[in-house]
Amino acid sequence: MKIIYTFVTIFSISYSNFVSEKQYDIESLILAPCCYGGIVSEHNSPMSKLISNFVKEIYSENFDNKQAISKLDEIIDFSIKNGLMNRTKNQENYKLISHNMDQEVFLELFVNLFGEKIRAVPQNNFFGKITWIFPYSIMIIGIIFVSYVIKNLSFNNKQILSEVETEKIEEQIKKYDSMGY
Amino acid sequence: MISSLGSSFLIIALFLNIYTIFSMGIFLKYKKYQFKISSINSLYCSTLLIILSSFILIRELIQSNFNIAYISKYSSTNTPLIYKITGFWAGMEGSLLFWLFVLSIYSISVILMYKNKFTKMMPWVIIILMFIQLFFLIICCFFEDPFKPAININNNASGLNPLLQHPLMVIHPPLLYLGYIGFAVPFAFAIGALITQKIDSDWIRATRRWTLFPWGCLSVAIVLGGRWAYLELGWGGYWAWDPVENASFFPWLTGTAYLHSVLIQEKRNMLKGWNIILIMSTFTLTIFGTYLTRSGIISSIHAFAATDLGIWFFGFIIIIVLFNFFMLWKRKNLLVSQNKLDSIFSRESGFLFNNMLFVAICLAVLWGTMYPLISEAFTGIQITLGPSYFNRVIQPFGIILVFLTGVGPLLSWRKTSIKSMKRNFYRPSIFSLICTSVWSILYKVYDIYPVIYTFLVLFVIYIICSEFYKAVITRVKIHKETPIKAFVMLFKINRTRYGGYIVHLGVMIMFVGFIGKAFDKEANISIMPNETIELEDYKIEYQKFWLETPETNPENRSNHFSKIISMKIVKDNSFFTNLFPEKRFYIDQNNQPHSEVALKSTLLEDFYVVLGDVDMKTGLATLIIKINPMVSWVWIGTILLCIGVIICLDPKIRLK
Repeated sequence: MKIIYTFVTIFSISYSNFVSEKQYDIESLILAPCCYGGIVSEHNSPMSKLISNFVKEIYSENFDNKQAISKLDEIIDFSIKNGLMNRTKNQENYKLISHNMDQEVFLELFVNLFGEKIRAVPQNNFFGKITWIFPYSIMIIGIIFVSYVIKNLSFNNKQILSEVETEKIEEQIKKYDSMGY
Repeated sequence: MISSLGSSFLIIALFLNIYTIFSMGIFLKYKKYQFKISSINSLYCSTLLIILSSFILIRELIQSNFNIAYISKYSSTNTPLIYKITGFWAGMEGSLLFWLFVLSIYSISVILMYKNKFTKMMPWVIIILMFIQLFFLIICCFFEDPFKPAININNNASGLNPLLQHPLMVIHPPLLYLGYIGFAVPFAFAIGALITQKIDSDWIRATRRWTLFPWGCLSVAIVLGGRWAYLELGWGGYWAWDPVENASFFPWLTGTAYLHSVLIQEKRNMLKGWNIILIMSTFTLTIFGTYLTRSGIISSIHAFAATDLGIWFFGFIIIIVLFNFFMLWKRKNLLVSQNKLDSIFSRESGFLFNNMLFVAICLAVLWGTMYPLISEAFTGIQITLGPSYFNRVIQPFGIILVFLTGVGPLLSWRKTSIKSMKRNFYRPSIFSLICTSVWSILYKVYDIYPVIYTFLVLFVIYIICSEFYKAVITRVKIHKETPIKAFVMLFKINRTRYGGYIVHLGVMIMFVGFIGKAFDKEANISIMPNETIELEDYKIEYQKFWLETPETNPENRSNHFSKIISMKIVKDNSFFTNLFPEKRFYIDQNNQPHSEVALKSTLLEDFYVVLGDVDMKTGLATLIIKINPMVSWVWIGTILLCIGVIICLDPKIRLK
């Protein structure tokens, strides 16, 4: 345990400022691959600290490609050492690294390293799009259904009270309501 | 010896439970009253036995009887007394017995309260409650016996997980269970109403408090769970859309929809079928939530260890769902509304849309929670959706929901004229528009969601306050009361309505806290003793570090040793607070580390510090510092919600 904490301590020294919103957003896209028990931005583990270090470098104003590669190597080394990953370093992954890299490229890089399981957001394919649309379709279907129910349950126009009658009733109700009756 | 007594009590309770159902069935078939008496007496006995076995388990937990396997897993000699008792609901077997315990208390309370009322319906209510109890008794007796003897007796048991050794974990689970299990009562009444064909508003009125109480408990439990996560897990948030968190959210959502929907049945004798469907769904979702947290089908850090129980819970859910469908089909002719809606611009319509939204949110969260299984089924890849998905998806729903919360009081029952709507909307809209614009410009907030939510929250708060204001003024004029007396009288005369407003006000205040989440700030720092670091308006001075062990501080550190640092925080050049973040190592748990959060809360923001670690030679400390605006309002809102629920729990309701 001590080794891990010393490790974290050493790699945390580089931190000093607030985490940027962009960094937080991008760290929210992937799960911490140590246990897949939470997103990187909200996970306190050595692994997520290393990923945070890498993300911070990517979005740093003083971006240095070599530094970023070395931070990615730290993630890979740590993962291999702790049995979280079983692959060798791939030059293709290094090519994906760039300053302010796009969210999709960031996801691609980590999916290449740890597999699709690392995603905390749907894939960028047809099924992924369905995933985003589904909840809204429920809402739209719900609105249509409720509107239908209201229409179905409503009186026909002849039975609706006139505006004047409604106003009178409303005022009476308000009066009694406000008196607490 | 005494542990086998616990097991025996549960077995006898199981037989008594079967007898209760059987004899009540004979009473219903042959109308022989002595069977009803016998059935109820048998229920009393089984309840007594369940309570006794619960107390036996608590006693054994306190006495650290490691001959019982469950106790050797969740207690240790070093565990403080209160957390020994907490061990009752900390593990699978104990929590299932706790479930039985709570259900028994609910059952007996219902029977005592309605002894001479609902003579036709009550036998069915008892049968339904006993069937639910039977399921849990079978699980406790044959699959998850809390009194099972330990195979290897270990006198140095590991004790309760350090994360669970927190005062909130003493309150949160019991409240959660009171909420979950409490929905069994309105569910049993709904089924009883369907069977006896008495689907009028009587059962709704009878169960109003039995719904409101569990709903209130569940609401508070959810927030307390969030508070525990905030203080204990060290990531600075209170809601992570974890499957276990979501499991408690499902029944809350449908339960909230039900609480609104029953008002239409009470006032207009409409939506009888819909109300029954809602309470059926709520109860089914409580069992589903239990299934989710105990089956291991979805991975979660909060879940119980995966067991083979999943299949039994799944089977139970299938039985409940099929039974629900059967009852609805059987009584479909009785579920038709007798009244009609007058207009789309009415409170009834508002409630319908509100119901639709709650159910839609529930389905959306359910979709996201079950997504690992869904994605695996369709694509072969298991993907767990994180908070970014849920937050993005749920926010638009939330906007409409908050809007409807404000609109509700402005709508009249039956019909609201366009003219009156315009009149009612005018002032709150202008007020919230001005306030939001000023706030947005002053603080340079241009993100769409915080701005819209702020506008809507102010809109709703204005409307609620003006409802109180108008009512008080009228009473002052008519009854010549003082404003304070008039205000108090409102709650005496119409508790449901004004208590409801307090609940809504509480929820809106909680939303103020949720809005603050958008402005959270986090910094990771490494600091040496006597060094000072500046973060925005704060100056953080790291003063000293030290170690406390069970030897140096036996009173407070009986089961752990702790690295502690002291920090002096200065804000805007004046003293703000001293903080002492800790890194604990629990001896019984193989020195499992745990960061104890140091926190200074103000109404505007929380200063939140997590100690990563401290090098005891050099003193180099790594810290995560978070500045979380408005979090206190989440807890303040919850207190208000509690007050509102207590006001609504009107003891003066008279039943026919």
